[in-house]
Amino acid sequence: MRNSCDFQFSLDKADRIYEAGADVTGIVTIIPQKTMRCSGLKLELRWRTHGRGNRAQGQVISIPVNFYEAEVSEGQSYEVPFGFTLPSGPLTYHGHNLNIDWYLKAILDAPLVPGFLDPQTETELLVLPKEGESVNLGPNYKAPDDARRASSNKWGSLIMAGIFGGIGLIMFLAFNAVANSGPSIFRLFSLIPLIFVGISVWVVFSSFRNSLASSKLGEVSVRFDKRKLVPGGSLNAKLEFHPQKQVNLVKITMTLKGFERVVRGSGSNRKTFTHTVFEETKELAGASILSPAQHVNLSESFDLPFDAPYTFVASDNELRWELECLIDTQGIIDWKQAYQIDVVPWVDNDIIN
Amino acid sequence: MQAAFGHLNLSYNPFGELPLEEKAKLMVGEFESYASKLEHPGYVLQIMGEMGRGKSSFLLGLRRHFPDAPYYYYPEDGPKPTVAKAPLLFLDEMQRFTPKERKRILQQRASFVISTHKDFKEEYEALGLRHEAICLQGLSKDKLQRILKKRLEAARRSPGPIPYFEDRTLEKLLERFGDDLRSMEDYLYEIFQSLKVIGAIKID
Repeated sequence: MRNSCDFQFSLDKADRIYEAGADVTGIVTIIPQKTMRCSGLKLELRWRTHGRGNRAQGQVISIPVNFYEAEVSEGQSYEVPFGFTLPSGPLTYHGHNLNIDWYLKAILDAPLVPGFLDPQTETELLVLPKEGESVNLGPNYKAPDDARRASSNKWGSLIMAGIFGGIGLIMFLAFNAVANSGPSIFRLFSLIPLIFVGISVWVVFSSFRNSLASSKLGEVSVRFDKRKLVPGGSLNAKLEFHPQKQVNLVKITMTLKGFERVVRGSGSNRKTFTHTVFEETKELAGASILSPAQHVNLSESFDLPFDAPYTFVASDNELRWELECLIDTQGIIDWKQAYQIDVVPWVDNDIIN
Repeated sequence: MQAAFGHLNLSYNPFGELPLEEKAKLMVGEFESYASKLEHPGYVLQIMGEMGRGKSSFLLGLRRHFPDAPYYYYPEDGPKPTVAKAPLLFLDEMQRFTPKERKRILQQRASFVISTHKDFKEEYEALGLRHEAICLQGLSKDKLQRILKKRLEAARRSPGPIPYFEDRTLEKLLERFGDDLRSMEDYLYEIFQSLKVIGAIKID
């Protein structure tokens, strides 16, 4: 089907690659394919994600233009100049499950075509970091702090454990009542609640595993020289603890990983996709016996690749970096904690939240 | 840095996730015969099918003929939508409403397009509603070709060649995935992530 109107964008940079915060100028040419009334031209700028996850997008930024034609005629073309300053991000990213792009959209407000969308088109801009400038790391980004680790949510785990435990208990009572009044085969159903109770126990164990491990290991401290890194930068981490009892150590490792995590759908159709962009594990200590009150003080350093992608956090779409520390001891009670690390274009500037 | 999928003359991976309204535009179906029936109150069109067969997309595709009709989706993890009165209602995941709520909704003088995992035929009959059911199952090679072509065209960046599917590839997809479009999309997403040049899409 023929479009009622064609558009052409001409930007001051043919490759459309701009630095965050840069001034952009250009001309949008409107080429009507039929004569129609119109009440103006809207230009809108916004970022959005595309890929495997549900779409996340920024607020529409309206760009003022001077276009006051009440009618556009077939066979003519109308050139409308525009100019705007790009925001501080998010930056363009093309990954596996996640992509982030900026779009400039032109919409001709043509009120005489009921039931049809106004003629419109959009074009992409590539937004790269600008030296020394701070960058927006996404609408849901929160800076790392020592109190908030990447994987600690004890209250959430307790609530979940309570729900599963409660369901298990109710089912147990209900099935027992049925089993007592029915054939003996019904007693087998009493085993089903055990699955729920098992999940509940596992959730509680997982959330308190570190506390249990600390009764043997003592308080474990992990410190960093910095938690914000640039691509190609080094991360230095120090792990310290004083065992309270004798510990049969299997190994101590640190793993630095960067990953895209996106969510598709909702409810029962909700599915999470994770794609690892970088992963490196280093062993700080091997199998040994640690004696009580021994001071364990280990350091490790990681070099980020020069093409490490930047941190980005939006609803259902994120690119995160974490350092996962593991103290693997004999038995099931290991100590494991992940710490949020941010990869940003510039370290010495504040990050816009 | 280059534009995403510019080397394939596409703007994005055609098998990535799209918002529902964009999915609806890409729905391939025979909507016209149902559209005329829905113009009069007292008629229910029930859409059934297993997960991934395109119930929601079909419902939204049909709704494009009635852009003013409200659409309600009841997510599994809530919140429950408040269904307003309207001459035509599109209700996604009807089975999540309680029988009492369903009765209240269906009692209003309206027509309904319902997607559901359960058949509510008896409830429609008890309320004297005319009803018809569509079960989304089975997928022909021709229909699959139209679905995939629409997806590719929607992702087109500019005039000129774009990747395409040959008959043999479609046959292989149908052999492997049957009518499970969602699994097929997941597979094709990966294929397009690693596709280097424009041409016929090859699969193992």
